[in-house]
Amino acid sequence: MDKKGIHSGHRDRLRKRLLETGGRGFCSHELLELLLFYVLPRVNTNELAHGLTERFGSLSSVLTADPDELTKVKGISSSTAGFLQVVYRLCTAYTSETGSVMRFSGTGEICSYLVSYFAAAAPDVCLILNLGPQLQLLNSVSFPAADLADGTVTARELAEISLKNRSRRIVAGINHAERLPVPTEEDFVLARRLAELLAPLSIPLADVIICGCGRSFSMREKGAFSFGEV
Amino acid sequence: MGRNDETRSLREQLLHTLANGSDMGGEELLTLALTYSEKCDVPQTVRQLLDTYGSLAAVCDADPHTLMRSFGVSESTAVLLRLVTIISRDIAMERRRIKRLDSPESAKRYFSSYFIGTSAEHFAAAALGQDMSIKAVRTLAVGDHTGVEASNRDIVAFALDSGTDLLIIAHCHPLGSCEPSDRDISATASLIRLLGGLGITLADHIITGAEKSLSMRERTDIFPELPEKVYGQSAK
Repeated sequence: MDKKGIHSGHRDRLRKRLLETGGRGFCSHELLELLLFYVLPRVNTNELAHGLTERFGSLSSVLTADPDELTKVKGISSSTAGFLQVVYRLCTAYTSETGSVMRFSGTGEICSYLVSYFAAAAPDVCLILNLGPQLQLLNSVSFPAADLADGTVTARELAEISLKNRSRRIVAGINHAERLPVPTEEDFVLARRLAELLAPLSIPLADVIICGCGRSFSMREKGAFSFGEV
Repeated sequence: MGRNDETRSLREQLLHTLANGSDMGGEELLTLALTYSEKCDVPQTVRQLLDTYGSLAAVCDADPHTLMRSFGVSESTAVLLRLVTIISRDIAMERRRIKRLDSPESAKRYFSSYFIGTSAEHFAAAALGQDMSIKAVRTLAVGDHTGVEASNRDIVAFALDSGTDLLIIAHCHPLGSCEPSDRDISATASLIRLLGGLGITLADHIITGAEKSLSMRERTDIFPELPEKVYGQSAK
């Protein structure tokens, strides 16, 4: 296999591994290597990524480094440094919309998080929160709510999302946007589907929270749905 | 002009906007990002994604398989969007990994992470132990995009509540440069004198900007001497 083939195979495997695992188990230099793929199509980026994280200390330090310092590293051009700045700006914009909550203290905080998250989101988006045993936010995945309810998102895909993130419980948030946060028939269909799919995997659906008009409605707290023990 | 040339031209235009320090919204940032990963009509794809998901965060959180299946985005784009969420969390976690602010570099890294995502100027203070370990950190004031002011009273109250005699303060310029203004320098010098009179040492004042951070101790000579083993120079 020629050099191009070796690099191409490695890149494909790394991308697929990221999509399969959601990033779990990835070291900082591997995440950086994935980023460098976008601007260095024909270079062995593994060594470069190692070198950058060693020199600057962490992935976030690389992303916030002065571009003049970055371009002193052999193999890093001003356009590569520029791309890393773009990624950092994207990350700050993402965090601006989502906050940097890492662990929830309870239903109240989850409701506040979802209301804030959905402030800019489109109507009828469903956000699945994968939570750990101490309500740590492991991962979040968004879907059009209709795709979840009608089976467009398959049972297998849902199972993969939950199991790969080692979720101990799931909370689903549904955005009603300008409509009142009152569960509709479609919301109940979605809740039933999620609960039925997750129960055999021993991943409880802990709550379904409807958000609308800046307020929230926890179906668990209001007794609107029969949730299992969590 | 072919599609690749159009995409390249769009990227250059948006990079120029970014370099000018202009504020870019979610749609522009997403468009710029996708010029690196897509060969399709990027603006149209971004509009479709935002029409469905509404926000940059929701697009980045979108299930990759749904993105590829329903919107026809490439695997490359799906990976890039997923990387944004992963790296954002990694950056947020950075703050939790730093236990001691024992150098200007560690203080800059800590507050870069602390202020990430803020859209207005914030002012914070960290109370430190004798070994520069973080005893407490608190946001003392929130301003707007033009400035923030924390009162000396609030800063002193925080230091006394925390039982510390060593403090680092910080503020952020979310959209701008990290260069200190004359007012930043004079206010800091005044605070150093005030705190010194109370037996409290101000070790540094960190300013975080849109792209990098600055340690005022490294930039000025207004701070009291501290042994290098206590608050060492940046390692790099």
